[in-house]
Amino acid sequence: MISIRELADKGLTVIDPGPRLTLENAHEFLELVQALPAAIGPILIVNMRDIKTVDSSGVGALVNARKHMDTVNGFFALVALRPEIGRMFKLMNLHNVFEMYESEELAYKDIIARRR
Amino acid sequence: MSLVQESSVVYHGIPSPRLNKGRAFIELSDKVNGLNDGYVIMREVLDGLMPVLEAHAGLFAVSTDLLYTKHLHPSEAVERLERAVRERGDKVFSVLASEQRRRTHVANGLLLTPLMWQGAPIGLIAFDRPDQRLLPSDRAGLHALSNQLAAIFGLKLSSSSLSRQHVAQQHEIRNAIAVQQSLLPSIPPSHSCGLSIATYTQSAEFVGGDYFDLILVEGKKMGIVVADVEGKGVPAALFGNLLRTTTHFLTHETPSTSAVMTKINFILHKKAVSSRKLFTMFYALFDPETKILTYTGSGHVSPMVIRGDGKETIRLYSDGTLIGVDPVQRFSEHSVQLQTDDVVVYFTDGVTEHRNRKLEAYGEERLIHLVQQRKTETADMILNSLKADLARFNSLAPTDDLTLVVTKVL
Repeated sequence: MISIRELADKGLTVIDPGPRLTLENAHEFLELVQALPAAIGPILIVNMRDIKTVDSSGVGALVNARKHMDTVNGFFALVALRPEIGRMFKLMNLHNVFEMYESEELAYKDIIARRR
Repeated sequence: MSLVQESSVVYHGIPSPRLNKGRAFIELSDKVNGLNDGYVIMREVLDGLMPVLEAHAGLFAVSTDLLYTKHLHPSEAVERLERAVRERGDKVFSVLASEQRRRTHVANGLLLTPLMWQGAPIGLIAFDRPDQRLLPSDRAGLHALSNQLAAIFGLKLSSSSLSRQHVAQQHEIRNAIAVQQSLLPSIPPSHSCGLSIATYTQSAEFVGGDYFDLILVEGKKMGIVVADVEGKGVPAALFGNLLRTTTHFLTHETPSTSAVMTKINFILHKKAVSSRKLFTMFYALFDPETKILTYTGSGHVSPMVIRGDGKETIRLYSDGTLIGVDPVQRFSEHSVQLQTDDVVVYFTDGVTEHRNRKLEAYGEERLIHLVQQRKTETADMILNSLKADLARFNSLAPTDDLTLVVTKVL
């Protein structure tokens, strides 16, 4: 189940893609990100806590989601990656592409501090 | 005339909050009819109804597919329901839409409206609002809108399982297999350029996004390419064909692996982005005279060198990021001195991420351990052992494409 949580008072949207981000749901995930309101400086956090499997389609969707957020002057972060997914992302040098944090709270605090 | 225009005419000039609410329901009803994406409908419904119902948080869930929550102010009740839906899905809908409660009702401090389709609950809309009372007009508006939304999402859920998709898929299978057959390396993968070579690729479904190639460079060197293209099916296979053509062209233009990768990135970046076909790639070039292996990677899993003398295992790390991220990315070139009997295993992440029933990953350690045990055998024998071990690990079809290229220095 893909779940979306809009926290309007914080200007923050959190997406939880469920246990997989693969060919099956990568397209849906990206369309969902691109359909988010393009408000000035929105913050999008993808909570990866439940994700056990990411394939090339999933990685592509995350990269394109980050690019989309760049085009709307937004902020994009990944949080709560499982160790095995974190290791895979590191091997793919994706730590150069994504900002990754341990939790939603840490990501939000850091983004807000930088935005000031 | 659309419903929006009609309602504007009917209610024009009447400053009644009740009628304004009615207009909001009608406008929302008209709006969702023109929308296709489930999550956009959900967002519009929450955005439209929360001010009408003076709610400070809302939740919209359908089947086990989508869950959308919106908090104008933090709401513990909605957070609790969100957790319950995420963990128990359909069961929560059933409980909240029991025989007595098939219409809008208040429970656990939330205003709940089940979505009923063909007699069964398929979803739920919930609001947290300070005022627990509900006007009859709001109840009627919610009931009408929930019927409409249940029909929209009910049809969406039904159509997703139509068999015509299967027919279209069969057609795509034939096309995709034909395309992928044309991608197989033209050089016989046996004894080439001072290497014994064995290759294997298996698609998770009918055709995959993995691509590998063996290219003769400058008439004597062996180029080894392994790439993992985003997605599967005909589009991924066609992109693999484009990548193959580009790679062959560039490997004949320059012997530098980093120059080849930089140019591939520059040429294919735009196409990769527009067609949503980002990819990782590893390109290595073996010189049989010096036994030096030069290589460059673009975010691809690192191949492994298992020394013939058993003294060390080297990961061929490369610092590039996947193609499609940065059009002017510069790739660095690395090299390693190989010796006779050294084994190099190139692979895609489908191998190390191959999962068993317990969802454990096959992993690099298991791969390295097996190759170390078999390093005295030929490339073909090592490859067959790896295939057998992958099958032992999980005999079911893989969930991702997997590709293996094993080379052994002669």
